Amino acid sequence: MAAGTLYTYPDNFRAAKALIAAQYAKGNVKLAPNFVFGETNKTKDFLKKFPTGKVPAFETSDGKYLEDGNAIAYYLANDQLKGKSEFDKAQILQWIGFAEGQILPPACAWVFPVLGVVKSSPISNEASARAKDDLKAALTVLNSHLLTRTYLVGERITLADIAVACNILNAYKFVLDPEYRKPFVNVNRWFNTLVNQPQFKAVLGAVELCSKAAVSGVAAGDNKNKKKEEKKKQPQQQAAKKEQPKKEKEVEEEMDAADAALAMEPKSKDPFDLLPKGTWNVDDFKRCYSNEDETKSIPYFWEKFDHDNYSIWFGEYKYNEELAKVFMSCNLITGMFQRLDKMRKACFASVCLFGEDNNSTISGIWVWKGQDLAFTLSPDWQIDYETYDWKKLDSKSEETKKLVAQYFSWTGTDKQGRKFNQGKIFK
Amino acid sequence: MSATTPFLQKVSKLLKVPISNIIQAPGLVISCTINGKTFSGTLNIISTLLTASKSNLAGKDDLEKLQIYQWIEYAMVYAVQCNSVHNIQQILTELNSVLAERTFIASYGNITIADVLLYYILHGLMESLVYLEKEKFIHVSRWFNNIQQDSNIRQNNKIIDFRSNFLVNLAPARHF
Repeated sequence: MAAGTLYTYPDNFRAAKALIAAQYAKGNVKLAPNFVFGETNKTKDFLKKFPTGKVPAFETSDGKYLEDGNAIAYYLANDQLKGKSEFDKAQILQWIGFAEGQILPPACAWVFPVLGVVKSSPISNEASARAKDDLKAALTVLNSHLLTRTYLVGERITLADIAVACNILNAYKFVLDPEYRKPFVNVNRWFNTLVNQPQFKAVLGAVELCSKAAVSGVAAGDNKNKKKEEKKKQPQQQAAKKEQPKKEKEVEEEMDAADAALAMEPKSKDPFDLLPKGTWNVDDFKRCYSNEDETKSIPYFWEKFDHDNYSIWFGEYKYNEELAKVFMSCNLITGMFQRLDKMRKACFASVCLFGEDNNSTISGIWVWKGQDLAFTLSPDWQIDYETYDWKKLDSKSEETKKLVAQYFSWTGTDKQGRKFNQGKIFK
Repeated sequence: MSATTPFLQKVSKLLKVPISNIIQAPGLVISCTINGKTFSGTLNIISTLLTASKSNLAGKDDLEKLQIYQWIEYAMVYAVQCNSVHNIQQILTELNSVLAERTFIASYGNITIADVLLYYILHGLMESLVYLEKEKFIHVSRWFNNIQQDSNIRQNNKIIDFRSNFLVNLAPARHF
């Protein structure tokens, strides 16, 4: 039976995972008394134990240290929660990954501005608008999985259920109104079942599902009050809560620093969003390019192209002498395209291979939003770009027009006169 | 009334409270002996068994207890009698729509005696369903499959197979 001390601020859904797991395993978990978020976890002593300074953090009764809600929950869990077979365990991990990757970012992007954890701004508004769709996609996956299942893994509650339910908890409480959650019958049933388990109730109190979606701005204030009322209604389970009810507000504000980054996560999903929108419709051009002959689509490109907000680049592969088989070179190109997947929204490219086996070169014309090298916008895009030489082209020059026409229509030769072999379109 | 006796015996075995002298005859209310006293009426017998066993299947608050009664009655009036094709379809359709929104029949959080009793009663029926019918009543199937995992509840009932991998082509995304 695991025992130890948990450091967290009150009502932290990440800490709830650990506390619920401890309820199931009847572990002896104490909440660290007098924990003040933003102070305690910045102290030297705390950082020595937990270098990231994040909560929840857990100190076992024999002096070992653990961070991260899911990890602590695993440590505190009993055999049922951890899954019976090796395959069950793997599935549980899969769902924990789903909870962190698919559920949490949109849920936070939507809920945090509403709760006032992050300041509501045009950027956060846009992020939460996108989050609504992202969350819908995640819930759809969950819904079809739960059509034939009572719980996520096996026929009993596991850490998978705890992780996913806790990550979606605040969304269900504050923003998923009856209209939004209506299609997700199976998820609703599953969620209701979980929060009605005595072990969940002991930690979360009575969970009331959102009746009207709260919005950020004016309503955020109301919501805070509502949240407080709810807290009052709930049986005060956590010792820390009892000891410092006055500090609650402070703590809520202090949360900014730690969770702001997380709330911003979906924003970083499309780094192009920071740039001005421009008048050129990339998708529109892509459709035209796919459906029409180049004799039509290339003039169309120049007709609509937005010189101020988009730029045209020439990318040349640096290590052409290493290229061997044609199909391998093609894989190199398509592989890069795949890794740049998220760029597609505001980028179009035609990359061509010239020559034949053991004597070939790769080069391409790229068009993207913004005037600078797009790859620097996101760490996700920086895997391949350094293997290319990048030259920005003057979008108004005749020379550029010729190059664009050549690469878009897959004709001509490279600088050394090798014939066009194959082309790949990034769209 | 058709035979509720075997179901009561299963409940008594699960709750580890012996019952004897079950008397069930046409026109008579069912009666039996528990701990030396005579009780009559299905609902009465089941609540007596629950009280005697201190089982957690009894429901944790008044609302749940009333819901349990309601479903036991439903089970006795409709499910036990269920023998014609028409009846079967109707009961499964009703249960399916209820179970779409809840995991257990009479409680949001926990399994109760109502689930267990319905499981016993419906076992023969579920066993006779073909895969396409199990697909049609997908929520009943999911519920049933969850209840039957507990070997104490199951006793000597056979586990009914709800996997339908070979139906992938007919109903993609719905196979277990």
